[in-house]
Parts: sequence; C-alpha cells; structure tokens
Amino acid sequence: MSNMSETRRGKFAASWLPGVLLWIGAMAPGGSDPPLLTSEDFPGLTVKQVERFEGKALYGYIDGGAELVYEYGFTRLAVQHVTAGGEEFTLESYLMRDDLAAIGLFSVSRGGCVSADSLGPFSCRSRYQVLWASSQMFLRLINPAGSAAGERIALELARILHRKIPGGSPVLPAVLGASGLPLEECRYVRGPLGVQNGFDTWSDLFDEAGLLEAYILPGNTDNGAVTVAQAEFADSSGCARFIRRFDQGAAVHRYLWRQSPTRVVAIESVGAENSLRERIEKAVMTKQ
Amino acid sequence: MITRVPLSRRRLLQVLGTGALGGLLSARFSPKSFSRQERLTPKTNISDALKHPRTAASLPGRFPARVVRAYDERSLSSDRPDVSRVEAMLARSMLALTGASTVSAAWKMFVTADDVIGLKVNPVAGKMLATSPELVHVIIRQLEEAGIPRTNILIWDRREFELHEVGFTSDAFPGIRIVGTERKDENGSFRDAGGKLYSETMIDHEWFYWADVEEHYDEETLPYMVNEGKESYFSRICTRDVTKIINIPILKNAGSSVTLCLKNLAYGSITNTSRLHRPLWHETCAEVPAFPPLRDKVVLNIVDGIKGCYQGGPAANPEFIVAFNTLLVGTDPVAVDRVGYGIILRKRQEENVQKEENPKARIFMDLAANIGLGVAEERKIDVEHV
Repeated sequence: MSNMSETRRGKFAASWLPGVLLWIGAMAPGGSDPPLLTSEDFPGLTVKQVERFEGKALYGYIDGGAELVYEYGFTRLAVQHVTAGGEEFTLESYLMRDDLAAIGLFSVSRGGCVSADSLGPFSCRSRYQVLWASSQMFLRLINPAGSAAGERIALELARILHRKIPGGSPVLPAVLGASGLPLEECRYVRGPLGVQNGFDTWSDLFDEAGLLEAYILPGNTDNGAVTVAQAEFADSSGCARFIRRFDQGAAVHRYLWRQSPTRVVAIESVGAENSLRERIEKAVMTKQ
Repeated sequence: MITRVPLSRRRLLQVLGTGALGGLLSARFSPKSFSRQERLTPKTNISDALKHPRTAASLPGRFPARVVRAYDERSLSSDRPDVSRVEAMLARSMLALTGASTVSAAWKMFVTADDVIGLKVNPVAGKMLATSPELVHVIIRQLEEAGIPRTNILIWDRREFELHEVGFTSDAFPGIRIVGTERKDENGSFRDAGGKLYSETMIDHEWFYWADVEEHYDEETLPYMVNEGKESYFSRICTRDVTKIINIPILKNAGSSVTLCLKNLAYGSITNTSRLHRPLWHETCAEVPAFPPLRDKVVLNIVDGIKGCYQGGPAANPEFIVAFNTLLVGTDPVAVDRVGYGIILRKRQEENVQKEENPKARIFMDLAANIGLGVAEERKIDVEHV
C-alpha cells in the first residue's frame, strides 16, 4: 500500500460514518494466545527471543507502565524479538480481556502517527512503530532504528500478523459518528490512568466520579476545538458529580444529554456548533 | 428517558433537582493542599524513617533549591548522545552548581576516593528510553579524573538483566560492577538449584518500607517482586554496598506526572512494589527516599534529558520520545523533579496532550518537601541555565 492511501485520514474517517447506529460489543472469537511471527512468515525472518507475561508479571516487563494496561483489563503479553531484512524489530502482542480493552489501550498509545488502513480502523504507523488493535489484541511492532527499510518491513509484518487475528473490531457509539469528527482520534478510557494518558484535560471532570468507561472524541471544526464524549458511571451520584463539574468548565459552549441515571453524552466547544449539536441530539434521540 | 441538560447553573438544578447535587455544590473538587495528613491513603511507616536523625549529608544535600539546567541543541547525534557535547554539558553543570574552579574539584565536593559510589540508572523502559550509557561513561570519566578508582564505582538498578539489555554490561564498562537486586542465572532462571530466589540474598531485612496494603503474587510474578506482605525491603546495594549514590533518572512522564529523581530512587531501591503503584504512588515516591539508606547517601541527581518522553511514559512509546537536549543537575531531588516536571508539562501543552496543569500531578513533590527532602515550590527554586 502506498503512503498516499495510508495517510488519507479524511477518507478513513468518512468510511466510518455510515451505518454507525449502536455500540456493538463484538467479542473476539477464540484467540487465546497473542499472535506471533514465525520464520515462515517472511523471507529470512529470524526469531531471536520470545518472552511471555501473564497475571501481575507485566510489572516485570514495564514496571509502573503496567498499571495502565491493568486498568483496561490484561490477560497476557508475548514479546518477540525478530530480525528481518537486516533490521531488528520488537513485537509486543497483548491479549486483552475484551476488544474494548484492546481499542482503549491503542487509543491512548497512539499519537504523531498516520492511519494504516490495511490494519483496520484502529491502527496507525510511524517511522518507529506500527500500532493497532483488532479483536482482543493490541499489537505494537517497533522498529527501533527508525530506518526507512525497517518502516516498510514493519508494515508488511504487521499485515501478516493482522491476518492471524480472528474476529473484527467493534463499532463506536453512534453519537461519535454523528459528530463528523475523525473517529481515529477517539479515546476509550476505563479509569483515571486512561483519562490521564488519553485526555488529561478532563481528568478533573472524572475525578472520583466512579467512571466506568468513556469515549472521548476531540477534534476541530472551522470554529475551533470541540470535544464530544459519551460516559458511563457506576452510579447516579457519580454521574451527577460529573455534570456539575462539566457545568463549571471553562469552555464557552457546553451541551449535555443525560441518557440514563448513569450515562451522559456531552459536547464542549469553543464555537456554538449548532449543526454539530443538532446531529448529536438526533443521534441521542434515535438511540432512545 | 433521555434528558437534555442545558448547562446554566440555575437550569441544571431545575432539571436534576437540588437534592441530588446539594452536597456536591459545597466544595470545589481540586485539592489545594497535598499534605500527608489530608490524604486518605493507607498508613505507612514513614514516621519510623523520620525518627532517624538527619546528618550533614542528608537530602536535600549541599545545594537545596538549586538546579542547573544544561542545554545543547546538538547533544544528540544520529539518535545517540554526542559524548563530547554531553561531557561539556555535565562539566558546565558541575561548575555552575558548585562554584568550584575545576570539574574535579566540583566532584570532590560530593565524593572521595574512599567512597563506593553507586550510579543509580533507569533501564526499565528498554533501549529507547533508558539512562544513556554515553552519559554514564561521561560521569565515570569525570569521577576518575577526580581520583575515584573505577573499582569503587558500580552501576545498579532493580533488575540486572534490564541493565544488560540497555547496554550496561561488563564489556561496555570494564572494571565497573553492574549489579541488580533481581537477577537471573545464565539459564534464565531467577532461582538457584534449591529453588531460592537469587534476589533474596540481595535484600536487607533491617530496612523496609511498610505500608498497610498487600498483594499476592503468582509464581511468574514473584521473582519481579521478591516478596509478598506489607514490607518492601531495601536492596543491600543501597543499604550496604555503596557509601554514596549518584541518581541518574531519565526525563519522562508518568501520565500527567513525571518519573524522575524521587521515583527512580523509590521504586528502584525496594522490593514488592506493585502493591504500591495504585494506592500509594505519590507516597512511595516521596517517602522511600526519606529512609537513611537513600536520604543520607544520595549526593547528586543528574537527569538524563538528552532524550526523554512527554507522553506514553513510563514505558517507551516512540511516538512521544523527543530530544530535549537537556541535563538537569542538583543535589535537591525535589527541586530537580519540579524543574523537570515543568519541562514536560510545557511540552505536553505544546503538543496539545493537555491544556492545563493537573494539580494532582505534583502531589509527591509536595509530600517530599513536607518531610524535608527538598523544595517543591517553583518560585523558591533557583534555576541556572548553562
């Protein structure tokens, strides 16, 4: 695939919008082991080392960094060091508790990278790594040298790995699709570390509110920055706490729909964003 | 039923009812003070640590509230630190910090030829985001020029194998001991023939950080934690093997906070750490360095900011690793952390990772300042740029 097709973010986003009505939590079939590369996968590929981490042993691999992974729901990790085409690569292949956990970890790990369409909607690549989430898997293929050849091979290896993953990826909530904002910017979070890593600007809003999960979609329109979010709380008092803080926020324009005692949809924007607000409201009501 | 909530205060209350929110309206949610007493966290034995009389060598050391920030935009060459430029940066820093007339004289203000000096590095995130071996070579060279024998220098961290992975090997550092608390044998086993963890011989049961929280570990995890229970034992490396410590963390974020001097000392020196991350991260970072094996031995902090990260830390995420081209040097670990925190916060804001400061990110620095380890208030810190 050419760089051109990989970087057409607008096209990528547009391809997501139609038909997004409901959140469908599609569990991945099977897939009890994280996918790995083999010497048959790529000419001259050599597997140098494989390490596996389960349970709390993730602390042994990334120490404090493990907390974020545990917050999402971790099952096991395989780390594979390989060489191919004269380049060295490290594959981190995470099996997460569910597909949302995989997407969530992907969403707060990406940045400064462009979409890699061939790896599905939750993917991105840069000079140094390819990241993607599919089914219950979150994968990171690192090209530590950052060479052009390594970048090319990493994408090929990623595609090979991607074909080994059964099942697909879930669809984002309809209200996000209705926003018209690029969906690849969506952060899915399940706790304070996810918020800190994904959208720290809202850390205070969620602080001690019993957040269970939130989809946070920041973006820009002609009027400036806008954020659309759907959040679910453990109880109604936590939800009310969030609403109160949201009301005290600094943004000029804030809109909020309470879908249930524990769930809200919120918009925060610099401009009035009447059109966006109407689309979101329609999506919220359609869901009802 | 879906309710649209127009967000003016009066209307909000009409929709939701004052009963639901009344209690919440009485206080803002952001805490303004971060003293230990006000935090509802599990108890620890920090009071035991504070009973030990301070010495002249105790943190914050010879230069409280003073930080030297060295910058060289060409300190990185082909993605690795340029040794000659880093050497010059460190020399400038040492002279500026101490006011000494020579670099060797500056070093001699902290160490003598009789000391056994531990260089506490950070290899946790792997090759891409570890304390650079180039900087450590520079430090060793300047120590040698100040009369410190190589045999009196060791490089240490929790996990010996991680040290090796990032380039701290005997081949690369001949004559220098490379040592970790947690270790494997040549067969990759954490245990000896009798089933005993090698790390058990590396911990000091006389020194421990007690906290009223515990976690049970499976067979896979225990070698990385060494022990269960409510005690986190200090490594013998810091309690017995070394007489002075030079702390060399890397400039990186941990969420909206940072993992710099205090975190590198705290989590790198004790066992049984995973139980502490969630409920007591700030307390651990602040309180473990208050125990004499660290408080009275750490003489200098040198933050490796040639490369660092502003997001994705403490793990290494290449998207967010950048050239800060910076070293931070000081004896006061709290002040150094505060300056490093400011650098990372500004970068996060520049890159639109966060708009405003999250005040909770600084809790550990406030706690450390409250127990006398240094100065956390930015306005009280003297930063010299060299």
